[in-house]
Amino acid sequence: MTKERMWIDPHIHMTSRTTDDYEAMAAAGVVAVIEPSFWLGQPRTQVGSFQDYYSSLVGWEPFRASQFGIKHYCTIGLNSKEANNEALAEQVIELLPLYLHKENVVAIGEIGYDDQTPAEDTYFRMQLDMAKELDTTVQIHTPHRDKKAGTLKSMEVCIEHGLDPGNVIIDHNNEETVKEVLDRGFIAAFTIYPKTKMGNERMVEVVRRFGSTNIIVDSSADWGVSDPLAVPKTANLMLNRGIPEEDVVKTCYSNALQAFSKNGKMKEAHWLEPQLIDQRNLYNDNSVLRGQQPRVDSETIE
Amino acid sequence: MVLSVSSKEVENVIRGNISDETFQWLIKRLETIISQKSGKDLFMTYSLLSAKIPDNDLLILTFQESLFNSLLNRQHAKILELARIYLLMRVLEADGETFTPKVATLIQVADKGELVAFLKFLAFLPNHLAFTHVAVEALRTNIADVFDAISLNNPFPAAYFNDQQWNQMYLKAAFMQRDLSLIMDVDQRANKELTRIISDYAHERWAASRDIDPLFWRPVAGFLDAGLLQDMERLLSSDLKAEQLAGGLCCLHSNTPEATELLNRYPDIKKEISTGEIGWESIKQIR
Repeated sequence: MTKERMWIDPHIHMTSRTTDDYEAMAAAGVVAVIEPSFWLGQPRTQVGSFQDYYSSLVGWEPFRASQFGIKHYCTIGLNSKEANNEALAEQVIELLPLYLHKENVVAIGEIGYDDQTPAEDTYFRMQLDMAKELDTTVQIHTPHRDKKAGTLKSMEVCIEHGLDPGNVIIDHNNEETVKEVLDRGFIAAFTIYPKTKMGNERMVEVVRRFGSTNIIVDSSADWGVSDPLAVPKTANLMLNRGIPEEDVVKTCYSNALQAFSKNGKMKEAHWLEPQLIDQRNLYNDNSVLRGQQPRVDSETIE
Repeated sequence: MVLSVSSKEVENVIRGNISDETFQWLIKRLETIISQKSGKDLFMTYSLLSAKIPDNDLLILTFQESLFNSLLNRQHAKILELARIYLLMRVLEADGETFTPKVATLIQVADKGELVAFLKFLAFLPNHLAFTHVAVEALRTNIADVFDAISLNNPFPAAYFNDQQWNQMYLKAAFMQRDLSLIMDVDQRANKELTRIISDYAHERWAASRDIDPLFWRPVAGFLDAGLLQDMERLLSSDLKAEQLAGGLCCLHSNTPEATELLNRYPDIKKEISTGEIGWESIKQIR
């Protein structure tokens, strides 16, 4: 990078990532991340598994991120895939309100459709009602199969439940869905998948064609093959390909900040006036170190 | 000491501190939660309260003197804390069987601030004994705010902890260098095992040339055996005024011939504390 820039990755599952990733992201200029709650690969069978997962997203993971100088926020919700276990879904829904006011929770998410089943529809709607009542931002997962219809349906249901489209972020867009999303006033996020159809070359063209208003770049990095540096890499590629800097900053930083800061939990001051890194800190007596020398940043020069 | 407070009393206090609109909303929500036996509505209401009431606003109390008011003052009660406790009191009163496990979940996922509120007002909950384990768990924390919430300005430990739990709390409070004068009912809960712990701990500190909060000695007054009398002598002959007075007060309150005789050997100290004007409170000032 030619000059120091700041990036936000508003969709990344850090629970599944390593400390190397945190270090590389911080070095590449990522100052804040948002971790949506989602499916962990292995289906959960107990409500307690969800409870501990959510507690980790508001407890341990923000601590871990802080140890590498990154501010961590999350979104809380019942993902569409696991909504199909209805007996469990009922109990998980009951639990959600207990997390939605916690200090790093910026939205309900990621919720929506996977196979677009009736059960998914039921719990998606319940969570939208909750969002409406709590006046919360919503982060929506769109299906991989039958994407276009699923995306349209997600938006229709949001409007049916009285949500403000400007307070709803639709994730995993592509060239086929983006226009409909923007035309309806929703915010369109794009996931950059390495070595696939939605690589960052394509993202450059999306921004060239659709501009930077209401468009957000995500890595959506998780436990699968994915790239936690997708946001800074895409930003740099856009700059190299001549996309105006203003548009790059909007799509890779400020749009995400604006979209997810509506409940007042996410603040630029968190990284502009950061706490110095002190790896001697503990969380419930637990450290991120395994006998290494702790990194302790200081403002004084010795 | 205030141990049982009715939800009506709590309601009267919060009514004066939240808007009528918020109050009416809360009452309406309570009706639904209780009639539907709905954990989800309880959790929604608990969550929404934080959007309706600012986090840090302190309660404003009427000038009416009551034990309840003075406890709220001591605890620096915040409006949001008490409103949430009121919500929990009401549902537990109405249907303990349904809501006790819901409240238990709520505590399991509580963040620091929520846990502090819960511990501060634990004694108010109708079936608080179902949650004693949470109070005991809080004794193991190293987070000062959480430990303080249960141990300081709180009537719950003296009323409901057994001796082992009480002693664990007292020693840890000293170890974490909390203000021991804020622990309620220290004299009533003094016990022989605690005096042994206090003396052992003091000897460890002395061996390492470290000082001891003079207030730490307070519970030993009723249990002055030969060993402790030696400790008292060491305090009485200390260079520090606060330690002299602490030793003197323990001897004075012990009322045994041996302690009286020991105190007689320090006439200046005896004179100073015999007027009744110098007590444990004054030691806190001197220190």
